[in-house]
Amino acid sequence: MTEEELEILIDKYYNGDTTLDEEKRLSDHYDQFVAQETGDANYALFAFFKSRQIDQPGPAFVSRIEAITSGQVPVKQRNLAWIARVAAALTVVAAVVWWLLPLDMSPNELATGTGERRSIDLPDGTVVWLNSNTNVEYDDGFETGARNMRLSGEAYFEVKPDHERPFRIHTGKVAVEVLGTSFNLRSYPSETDIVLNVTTGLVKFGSKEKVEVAGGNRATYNIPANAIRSLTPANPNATAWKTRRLVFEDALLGDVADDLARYFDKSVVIETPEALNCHFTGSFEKPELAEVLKVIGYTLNMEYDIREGGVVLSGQNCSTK
Amino acid sequence: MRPEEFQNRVLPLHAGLYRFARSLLNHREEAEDCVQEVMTKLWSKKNTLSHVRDLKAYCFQIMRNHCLDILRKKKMDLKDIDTGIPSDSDVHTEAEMTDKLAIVQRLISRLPEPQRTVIHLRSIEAWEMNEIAEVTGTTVEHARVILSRARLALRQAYQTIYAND
Repeated sequence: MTEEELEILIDKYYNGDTTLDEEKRLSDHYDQFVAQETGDANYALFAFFKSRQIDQPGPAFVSRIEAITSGQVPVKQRNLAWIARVAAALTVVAAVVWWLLPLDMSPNELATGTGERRSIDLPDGTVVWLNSNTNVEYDDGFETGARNMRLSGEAYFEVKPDHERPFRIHTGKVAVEVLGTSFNLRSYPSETDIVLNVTTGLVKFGSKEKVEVAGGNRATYNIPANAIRSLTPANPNATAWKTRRLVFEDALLGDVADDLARYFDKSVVIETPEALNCHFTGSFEKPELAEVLKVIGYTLNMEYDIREGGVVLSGQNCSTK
Repeated sequence: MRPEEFQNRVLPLHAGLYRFARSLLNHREEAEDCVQEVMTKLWSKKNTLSHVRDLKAYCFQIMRNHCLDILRKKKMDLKDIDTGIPSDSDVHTEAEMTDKLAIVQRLISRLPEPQRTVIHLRSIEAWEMNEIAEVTGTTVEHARVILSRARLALRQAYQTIYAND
């Protein structure tokens, strides 16, 4: 840099008009030589800024900061509650019971419209994904007080473990109570079944009679019968609405139709009763209805028709191919 | 905001927040405590952070308010005991006082607050002026004026010290 250039840049600098690049050039310039003349304000200023640019807090401090997000109480305030929290975090077992008491809830309400999906972070660290046409409300004071939530529709929960504060989900007259686990709960007002698919944890489930549902299993509660109707392996497509992935492994065509109907929110009818016992294997990423039907039609030798009201599949020769 | 997102986007700001607090408070340990307090505050409201337009500016804004509160309380304490001792306790000894870097630090600590914030974010963190204006809540043009005043004040004060030697 020439004397003249330097003079122009310095003028610009004190006017507050230099760009970051120009300031870098100035900084590099003053860094090049060790000024013996301590009265040079420019040298002193840039030397000071440079010394502060590399200033870092110590490693002990960094772990103090990281502790904030790992659910631990920071070192400064460590106490017995911290031990209880860690113990709770290690508890993988969760219990789900049906709850019959109505609750007063203050309205922290979130809702999704048709075709809309979103995730929400609750103040306690629990994450909830809402499927289309779903409505949830949760209490004020969720962070430290009781964890109560009301659900209408379908949602996937990753509940932050806290064995001192059970997580309750009310679905109309009944509710689920968990300590810390992940699961999908479907409870649309238009449907007669409440379906629970457990991903991780062990879950107690029921009203009068209770059953234990382990991770990887599904329980279906029938509202008119007021009872658990079936216990089966978890449906791999229970969370397809969230993962945008449909997987069928040797699945009965009747079940495939149910999953497609849920995913595309369309009625899917198998016109030929014999075809209900056909099996289908295949997986689809970000599935499109026409694409899925084309593959099924080709694999099982079936015809399909996409109509206004829904989809109709027909054909009885699936076993021949 | 999900915990992973907080860990990826907010936690990495801790070193910058620490430097900022240190510049405003002139105290290492106090600056570290401030970062811990501000991070804890941000973590507790992480579910609303996704809606923040400029996350970095927002975090620095919170840190600035936090430090200004502390300085306000300190000023009142100082008034109570009526000493004229400045609070730049990083400067411990006479020997350090003669060091030119310590002099610059001391001069910066005597600047009015908006000037300290602007000169720190510009000269140490190398922020663009529009980002700085987000933190100070001023227009970009006004932030530029503040910056220019701070630089001129520092140069003049520094040269005065050496002219008197």
